[in-house]
Amino acid sequence: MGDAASSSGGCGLTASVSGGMIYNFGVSSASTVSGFLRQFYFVTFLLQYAQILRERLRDSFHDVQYVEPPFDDSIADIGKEWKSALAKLKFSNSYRMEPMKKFQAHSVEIKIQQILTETLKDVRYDDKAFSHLSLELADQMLLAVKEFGFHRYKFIIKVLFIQKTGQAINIASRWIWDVAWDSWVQAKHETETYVALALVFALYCE
Amino acid sequence: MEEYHRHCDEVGFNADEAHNIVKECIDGVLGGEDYNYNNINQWTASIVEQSLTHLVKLGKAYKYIVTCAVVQRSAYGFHTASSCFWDTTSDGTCTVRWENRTMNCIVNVFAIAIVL
Repeated sequence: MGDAASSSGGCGLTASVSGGMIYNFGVSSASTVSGFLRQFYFVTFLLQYAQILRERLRDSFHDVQYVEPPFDDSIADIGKEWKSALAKLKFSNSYRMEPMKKFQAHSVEIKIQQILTETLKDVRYDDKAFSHLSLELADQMLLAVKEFGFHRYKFIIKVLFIQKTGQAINIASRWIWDVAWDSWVQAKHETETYVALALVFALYCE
Repeated sequence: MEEYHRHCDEVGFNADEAHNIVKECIDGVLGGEDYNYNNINQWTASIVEQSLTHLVKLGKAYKYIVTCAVVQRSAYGFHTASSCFWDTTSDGTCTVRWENRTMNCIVNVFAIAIVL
């Protein structure tokens, strides 16, 4: 939507600029030559800029979907009130510099791979079922990881299903975190019709 | 030291700012390009690294995870789900979907607050 707005704005600009140019020719006799030249350069620059922008973004459109921490405003207010009340309380220092039980990537990886293989054994790709199944798998994995009992850790689970139709896909992730305590694991399950990928990120809440 | 209060985290993660940053990064890298097998690795890496650098420049006390999936455009099915265990008042996520004639790109940003 944002892209459509900007491109229509560009067209509007061109129309007004060309109208302005014609007007400027008539007025040039009254203004100085250098002033006119400056206006002319500015106008051509604007024309070129609008043209470049339109060409670059031609054939592309983008769409934004995001989920903010609260799903609607009322929940947000409750959370913030509680949180600001909490901030006024002063917790005594625990003097704990590191987590009690550090995230064991190896055991979590085995568990995640097991869940993925068991759930997706002999399951064929099905459009409707998979959108539901992906959410279910994500929740199941979250519960399993929580059961490990890593205290003060926050988890993010990502589940991806890609249908195999001969197209190419490239997935990349980067992060900024504390290398000492934070880590990630991945599990992959491949069949004839699709590939399932699960990513688990564990971050220590300092 | 005890007097310090976390002012930024009271309003939570600003998803609007994050989506603008990510949208600009994607436009800069993939804008006007067609799917190219040789360059795709480079493109995904640069999208993710640039988004991360710009997010960090915001200067907030957050840990970031940025994931990017670029797929060649054809008739295919793609499902993605994420489940998170975190502090809902201070942590958040943002997803940006971008496409052109030959590719689809999905970028996901997760931001986890650091309690100072």
